[in-house]
Formats: sequence, structure tokens, C-alpha cells
Amino acid sequence: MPAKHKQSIIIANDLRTGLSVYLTRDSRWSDSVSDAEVLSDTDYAETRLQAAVGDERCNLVIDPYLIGIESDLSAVDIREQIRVSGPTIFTDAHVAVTQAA
Amino acid sequence: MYQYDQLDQSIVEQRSAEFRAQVERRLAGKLSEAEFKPLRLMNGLYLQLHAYMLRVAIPYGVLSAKQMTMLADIADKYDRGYGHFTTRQNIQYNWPKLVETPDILDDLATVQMHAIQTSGNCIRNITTDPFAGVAADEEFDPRPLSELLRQWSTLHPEFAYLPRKFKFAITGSAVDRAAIKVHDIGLRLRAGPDNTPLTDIWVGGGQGRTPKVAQLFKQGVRVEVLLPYLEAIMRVYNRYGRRDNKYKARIKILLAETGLEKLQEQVEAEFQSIDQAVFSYVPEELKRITENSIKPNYARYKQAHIENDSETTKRSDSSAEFTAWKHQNVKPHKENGYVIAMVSLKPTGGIPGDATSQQMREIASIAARYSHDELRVTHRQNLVLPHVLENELFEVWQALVEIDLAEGNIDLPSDIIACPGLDYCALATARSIPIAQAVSAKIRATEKKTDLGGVSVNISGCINACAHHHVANIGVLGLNKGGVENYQLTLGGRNDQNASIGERLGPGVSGDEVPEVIERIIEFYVDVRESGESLSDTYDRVGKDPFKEAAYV
Repeated sequence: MPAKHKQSIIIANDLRTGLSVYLTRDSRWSDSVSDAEVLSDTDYAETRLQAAVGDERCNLVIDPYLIGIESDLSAVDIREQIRVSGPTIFTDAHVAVTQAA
Repeated sequence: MYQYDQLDQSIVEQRSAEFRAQVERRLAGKLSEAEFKPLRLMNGLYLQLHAYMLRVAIPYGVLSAKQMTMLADIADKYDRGYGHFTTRQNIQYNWPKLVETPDILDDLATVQMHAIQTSGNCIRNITTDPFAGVAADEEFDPRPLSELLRQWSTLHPEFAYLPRKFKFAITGSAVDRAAIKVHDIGLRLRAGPDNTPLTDIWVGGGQGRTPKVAQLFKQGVRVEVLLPYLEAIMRVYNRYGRRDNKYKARIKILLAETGLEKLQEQVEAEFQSIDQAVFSYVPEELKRITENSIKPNYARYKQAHIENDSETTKRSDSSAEFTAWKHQNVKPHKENGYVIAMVSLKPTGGIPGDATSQQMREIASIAARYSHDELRVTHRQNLVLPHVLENELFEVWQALVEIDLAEGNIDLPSDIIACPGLDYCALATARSIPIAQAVSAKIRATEKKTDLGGVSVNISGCINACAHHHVANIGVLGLNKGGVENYQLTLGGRNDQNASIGERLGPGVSGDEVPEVIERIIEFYVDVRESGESLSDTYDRVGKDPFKEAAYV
């Protein structure tokens, strides 16, 4: 777990689809962050990360790592926020125009 | 437009089959990610922030209507219904699945397309003037040479593992629309004695964390000996280019560390050692390429469509919107009665370079109907209809209006280059697309009231400078400062024949502040500019301090 964070989750990319996935309490990988196992203990988080690395060796996921989260499951770091929540772009140009006005 | 022969076709088909086998081995666990990564990158497949990303090559930015339709089909069938056109005149898909990528490559191969060498430390997609072959000011059409270089560099066994990626750009005009001076090698085709084509070679340009304008390396190289000369440059770079530090691995660093004169001597010695007889095929191959290329039959088309105009012309005269679009987006063509129509992929507040599958399909139809079946992609992330009969321009505009692609803002500040940034890219440190959207939304209204030609805005989401911020009149670089996005501005850059690197204006600002800061910079420029000056010209004349004072209030 990133030392400065009280809680974390494990994120990776699914090998077949590339999409972000999260390690669950029952050791599955879910594409929903709400299914992620929240890790509060540093040693336990490290144990779970090793399990995730094992799944990487089994060719289920790519590059698992811990990300710090807030109590509402949002990521602390902006990069991980965007990774968890998706692109922040305005898909409707009119929305961008309205916001700029 | 060049048409594949059997050899070209077999190469892309074999490559696709090879990649399918590699993917199967990866999925079966016979290849680790570490083993597979260089293989997928050689086929343009990245793993980005949210998903895989596939970069498809559009050699020198030239597309047929059929190819554009296939790109639309791929967006629908394998991705999320859109594509992103890039500064290397390519297209990227942001959400393909690994398991379906071999099928995408197979589909691409059916229309003479591929993703070979769109990533990795090899020679990347060759880029050129998007008006190649049609520009009124062109001396030589760079497309046959571009195709020759594409064939030469494709799967070249010596240059598959260079110290770093390597980019070529070519222009055949004095006005540089291909940004050749910010490429590893830039080629300028020009007329020599008796109007024979000669090539001036510029070496060592590039952007990223160490931006450099290329240096004139060799003048007047005959096209017949160009390949061995380029091969000599590549060999010297391959031998001496640094492999210990990827940030110092580009040829611009080798040039800076070695010195121009010594590097020229090394290349000359290498050139002398090359058996030039090996390249005796070049004149014949250039002839074959030219013969294998479909050329627009301007006269016949014009004859068939000439009676189609009087009513249309009258209606067009009364349309102010059409007139404004024509003023900004239509460029002179070498053929009498024809024009080049540029299609902006920068709608007000939109995502620079993105097109939906429906837009791609419709623009393909427009190209088939009005532009001799041909399209171009520009390094400013726009599209071009290169052969439009002037009498049919109004109909083209009407068709573009129907698909929301009639923004008349080419070369205006809202014609922003933006990289995918932190919204998609695994390397990015800050977002660029939402900033571009906000800037565009803020300044478009001003553009419609005031002549703002001569102001370019490029926004990169990290120091790698994929949006070419260093060579914009106004460059924006997104960084991460203590966990917060922060944007540095540079002024005074140019990417044309007078290429220059922009200068950092002052402290970075927040993303929310970027549109207002840019607006103030532009207002100051409008106040003090002299006739015909671009923003960078004005910046050179008045200096940094007045701009800084205007920007930071």
C-alpha cells in the first residue's frame, strides 16, 4: 500500500480486454470498483498484492498495483481517479461551450 | 494514390497472421507480458490508462474513401464508435480488445492498411505535406518518394531495433506544411538544374524534453542516391546513438554531442562504404510507384460536372457562413477550377482530432462523390478533401454541415492540436483534451469577430510533447506539481520553414486559468501586432515581458 494512504485497493488491466479491473475479497477480478477489496492493513495489502502478481503470472491480468483511496472509494491521485472513473472529456461539445460561458 | 502490388499485400497479410499467432501464444500463457510487449508494440498495440490502444498507420496521411469507411467500420465493430486522428497523420482507437486485434489487422489488410511500425524503436510512419501533389505552390510531389521510403523502411532488418523511435517528414514546397525541421530527418525536395529533383536533408530536429530545430545536414542530394545516403545516416545513428538513457537516445542528442561536422564526416564515410549498385532499382521503382498510383482525371470529371454549377453558385453567394468557411478552410489547388477543402476536426468545444464512425463514413461518401475518392489527414489533426471542383464547393460545405464538420477555423487559435493527455495516455502527467475544449469554447466567438489567423495553440499533457507545444505560437504543457495539474505556457514557437522553439513565459497556471490566460495573450497580440505578423513574429519583436505582463494579471 502506498505508505501515505490509509486505505488502498488493487488495480490491474485485464489481459484479454485491457480494461481496468479490481481485485475482490474472494480473489476475483471485477471491472467495477465497488467490488474492490478495501485494504487498510499494510502487511495484508502486501500479501494481497502478491496474490495479484500471481494472477499476472497466470496471465489473467497485467501490472497489478496498489492505489490509495478515500473513504468513498475515489482514488487519491488524479491519475488513478481518471483511471477508475474514466475520461473526463466532454463528449458533447455543447457542454464544453456552456461550461466556458 | 498508390495501390499495393502483390508483394505489398502479402507483407501485410503475413504480418497479420504472424501477430495472430503471437496473440494466441500470449493468451495461452506461452509468452509473458515482458516477451509479448515488444511484439505488440511493433504492431501498434499499446496498453494505455484504461485499455489497449491500437495505432493504425496512414502512410503519409493519404486515404481512399474505401479505407476511411473501413476505419469507421472498425470503430463500430471493435471499438466505441469513434477514432482519434493524430499528429503523425495516423488514427488511434482507444478501446480495442487484445483478443480482437488480429481481426482488426485482418480487416485493415483487406483495404491495404496495417499498424506496422506505428510504435517501437524503428522508423515510424512517413509524414508529408497534406497538400502533396495538389498544392499550388509545390515544386515536386513528395508522395512517390514518401512511398519509396515507406517500402524501404518497412521491416528493414537493420533498423528494427534503433536506439529510439525515428521520424521522417518530407515536403516538396518552400512553405513547409510538414514540419520537417522538427523531425529526426526532414527532407525538402526542390528543383535543381534542368528542373531535376534534389533533396536537402535536415537532421536532428525533435521535441520532447529536449526540443531542437533540425540542422541542414546535406544539400542537393540526387534522388537516385538518397536511399544509400539515408541508410548511411541511419547506420551511424544505430551505431553511435545512445542506448543507456532513453531520454538521450534520439539522433538530435547524437548530433549535439558529436557536432555537425564530425557527424557529417562519419555519415560520409559510411556512405562511401555502401555499395550503391544495390540501390540502382530506385529510378525504376519510383517509376513503378508513380504508375501504380491512381491519378485524378481532373479534365474528365470537370467536363462531366461542369453544368452542375450556376444555381449552386448563386445560392452560395448568399450564404455568409459558407463564405466564412471558404475563406478559412479552402486553399488554392494546382489545377485550374479545383480547390483543396480542409475539414476541421475541431468543432467549438469538441475533442481535437476525434471523429465518430458516422462522420468517418459520411466524409468517405463526400470524398467519393466530390474529391476523386481521396482524403488526407494532416499533422494538425484535421482532414483534407484534396480535389474539389470549385463549382461543387457549396454542396461539399452543405454535406459537411450535416455531419457537424463545417467549422471554419483552420489555422485559427481554436484549431488546437491536443494529445490524448491524462484522459487516455499512460505516460501523461496532466489532462490536455478538456483544456483544449475549454480554450476552444472560449476563443471561438472572438475568432468570428477578429482576424486571428497566425495564432496556433498546441496542448501537450506531458513533456514528451506529442501535441508539439514547443513549436506552437502558444504552447501549453501540462505537468503534475505535487499531485495537482499545472500548465506551463510557451510563446514564440513555429513549425514551418522558419521553425523555432517557444520560450517559457512564466509560472504555470491551473487548468481553469488556461483559457483566460490564452485569451489575454491573444488580446495583447491583437492590440500590438503589425500588419502581417503572426503571434510569434510579434513576440520576437516586442519580447517576452510585455506578453508576460498581459498574461499574468
